[in-house]
Amino acid sequence: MVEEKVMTSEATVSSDKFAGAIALDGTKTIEVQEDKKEKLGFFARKKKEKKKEASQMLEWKKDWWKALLCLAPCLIILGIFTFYPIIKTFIVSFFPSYNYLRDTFGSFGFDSYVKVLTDDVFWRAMFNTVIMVVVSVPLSILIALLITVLLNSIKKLQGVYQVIFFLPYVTNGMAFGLVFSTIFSPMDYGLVNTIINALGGSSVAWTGTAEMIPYWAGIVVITIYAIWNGLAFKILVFLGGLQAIDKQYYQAAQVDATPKGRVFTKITVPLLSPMILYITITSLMGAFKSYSSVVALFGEDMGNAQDETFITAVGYIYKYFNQVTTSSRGATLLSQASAAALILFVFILIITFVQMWANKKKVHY
Amino acid sequence: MKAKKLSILCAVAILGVSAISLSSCGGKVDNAGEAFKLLTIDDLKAKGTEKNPIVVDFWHSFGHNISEELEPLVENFETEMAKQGLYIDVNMTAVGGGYDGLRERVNLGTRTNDVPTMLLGYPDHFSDYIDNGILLPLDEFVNSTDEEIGIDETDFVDSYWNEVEMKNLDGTEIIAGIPFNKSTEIMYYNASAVDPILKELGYGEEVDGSWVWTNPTWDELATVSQKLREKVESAGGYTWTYNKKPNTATKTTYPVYIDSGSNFFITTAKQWCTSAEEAANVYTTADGKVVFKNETALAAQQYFTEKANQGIWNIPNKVNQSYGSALMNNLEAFISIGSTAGVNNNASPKYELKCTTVPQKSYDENSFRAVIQQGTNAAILSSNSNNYTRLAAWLLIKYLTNTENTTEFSMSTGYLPVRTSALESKTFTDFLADYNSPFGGVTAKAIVATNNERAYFYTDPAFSGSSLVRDRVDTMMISIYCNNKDITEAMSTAYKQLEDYDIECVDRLA
Repeated sequence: MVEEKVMTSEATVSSDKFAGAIALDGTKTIEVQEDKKEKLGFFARKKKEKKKEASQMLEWKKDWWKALLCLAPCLIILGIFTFYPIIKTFIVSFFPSYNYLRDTFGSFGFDSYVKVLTDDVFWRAMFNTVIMVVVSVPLSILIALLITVLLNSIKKLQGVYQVIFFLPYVTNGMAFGLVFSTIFSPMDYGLVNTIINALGGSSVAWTGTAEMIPYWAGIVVITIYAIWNGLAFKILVFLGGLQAIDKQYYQAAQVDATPKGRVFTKITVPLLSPMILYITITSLMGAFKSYSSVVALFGEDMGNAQDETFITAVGYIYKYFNQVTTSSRGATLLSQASAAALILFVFILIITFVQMWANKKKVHY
Repeated sequence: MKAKKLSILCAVAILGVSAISLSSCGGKVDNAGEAFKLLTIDDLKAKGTEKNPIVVDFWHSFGHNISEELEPLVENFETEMAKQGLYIDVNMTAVGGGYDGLRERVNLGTRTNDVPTMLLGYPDHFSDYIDNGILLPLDEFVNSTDEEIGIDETDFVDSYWNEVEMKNLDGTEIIAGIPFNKSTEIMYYNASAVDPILKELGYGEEVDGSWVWTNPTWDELATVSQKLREKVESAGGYTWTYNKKPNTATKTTYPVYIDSGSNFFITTAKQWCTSAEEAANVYTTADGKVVFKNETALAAQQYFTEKANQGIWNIPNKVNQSYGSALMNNLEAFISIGSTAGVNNNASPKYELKCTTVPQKSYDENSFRAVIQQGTNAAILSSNSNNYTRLAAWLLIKYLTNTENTTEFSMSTGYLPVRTSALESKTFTDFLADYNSPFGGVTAKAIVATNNERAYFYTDPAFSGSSLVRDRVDTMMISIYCNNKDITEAMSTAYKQLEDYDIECVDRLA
């Protein structure tokens, strides 16, 4: 009997909840009583919580207007500039003859979606966008990561180098465009063409209208532009993450004489993985929304005249959106632009979800 | 107390946000968009005071140089009106992005009524404004029996006036605007380099000690251009330096550049026609159909592309430029075909500038000759104006286009006078007569060059979407001349793009 009591008490002791109570006498009766007490306590807590909630509700009822008033500026801005356009875009996409200038809707239909999905230019735009995403995003992340690690390991003039690499982030887009138009000028005096000519090659029409720009040349220019443009922000984020990693990990690796490459893959990358995920998602979204870089490099035709060779998904949307005010004939093209915008939105959403799901196991928080 | 402060702070924030959000909406004038009623000058005098004048918003798209010539005329108008007891304040705004930028700004502002009282624009832009129901027909002003309001429409150059007579939404004919600044295309050339070749070839004649090249043809121009190429290649004979290397990326440089791709296409297509009837149906038709994919236009472009491939001429885009004038100035080209309004850009102290007519296919009796006539007209918009501001705007239009002012504006800018009385006025004829003297301005040279062209002037039919057709033709020409695209294929692509806008395109090559 005593043994049974002891066994029961041992079993119960393992539970932290009743440890104090069992320590008193260790009987089953007490255990049951405690259960009852706990149940009573649970209800009492629930009652207390409800009371608290009720009092909070009362406070909310009393002060709701303050909350609303405080949120109002934000809500107004978001309402006008974010929610209203999104809702209107959604609605307009289902009214193919919506006229922007007159704000008349016409009849409901899926014609705009059919037009977009059967348009060769849209699929060319999607293809170009995917190429830019697939090429520029991994490359830019990899380069940013390597530069960050190098920057972090430099002892002298670290601040100076950081400023140099961060400069593109605060540089005006126009200045960026000018620099690139000099580097990739199709003329002989362009920096890249000068080098090619010096090496015995012949000039390439990288940009401009003068000659047909070869597809590969255009993609090379866009990729370099995208990498350069996004590098500074990525370095900044990675550098912040890298400096937050506990030095003990590296010291332990040093003690074990672990090769530097292994330290990078086994310590740096896993511990930076939340940052890498964040940068990957934002870079992907950014790359899917590429537009200004293509216009800056190739003009509003987004490539060779008539062909819109380097048109992107967002470029396709703008192509029709811009026509809305160009002519009263173009005023009905907003529906097509809206349909394309929604298709792109769904596409990015799916890619982002897939990416988050795929990275769940590989990201160490 | 704390809550009160918070409330005030939030309320101010809301007001601020609302103000910022709504600031894009245009300021409306009193009774904006009211039904039209022709007022009298006395009504206007009674309404406007020195302290509260009637405000006229006037949008144009002139650059700095032309704006500087227009501003004194507008100031004179305000002063003269004030002397008569009419207090009118004109707010001039130069909208960026050229006339297409102005049209876009107006189209964008139509929804929020952020549009001016009056503006300048091309007839196809007016088609948009008619479509959007914001253009005020000027018939009642023009035909008013009140001398202070009405004007003599017969004094305007016929071809200019025909352009502003447009169809309203209900199909009735209206006067959509008043001709304001008109130009055409001419051929500019570096006489220091070209004259010796012209003399050698016997093109033109000597007039008062100066070599004048009259009535050039495209074949003549091609021969001159070929000679220039040969001279450049053998690097001799010129007093100026040809110091730029030919561009190896674009393989060549060209002695001749033709500015506007769309004008180039339309003009040459018409010149390749054999009758006025054929020419009227070679690009677009009066009822808004696109017909430029046809044998005649194709033949014209085959002729020009063949010569372009031989390095005879090209469009400035071929060397990443927008205008031939920049290439002339840099001594990278010798001849440029462009607007008379660009005369000052073509002039340079580095060479003697001469002007002549745009080349024709032929001057044979049976041939058809064509040169584009272009330029903007002044119009009044009804949506953000009332009957007072409309009449005030009309008085400004009347003032700016009177014989004296259209003459003055023309002499200072290179645009052509819009009235016959101005063209025949002593001031203007004296100005032109002096063109060849050392004191004669380049503007006079440009205007004199148009004398021989006036008989061949044509205008595009304006319809809703006609500006889109022009845009697509411009792109098509870049595609043909810079990207070596097959002409028929480029025409088909342009048709496909235009069909996006439900513009009817007739394929006559099919």
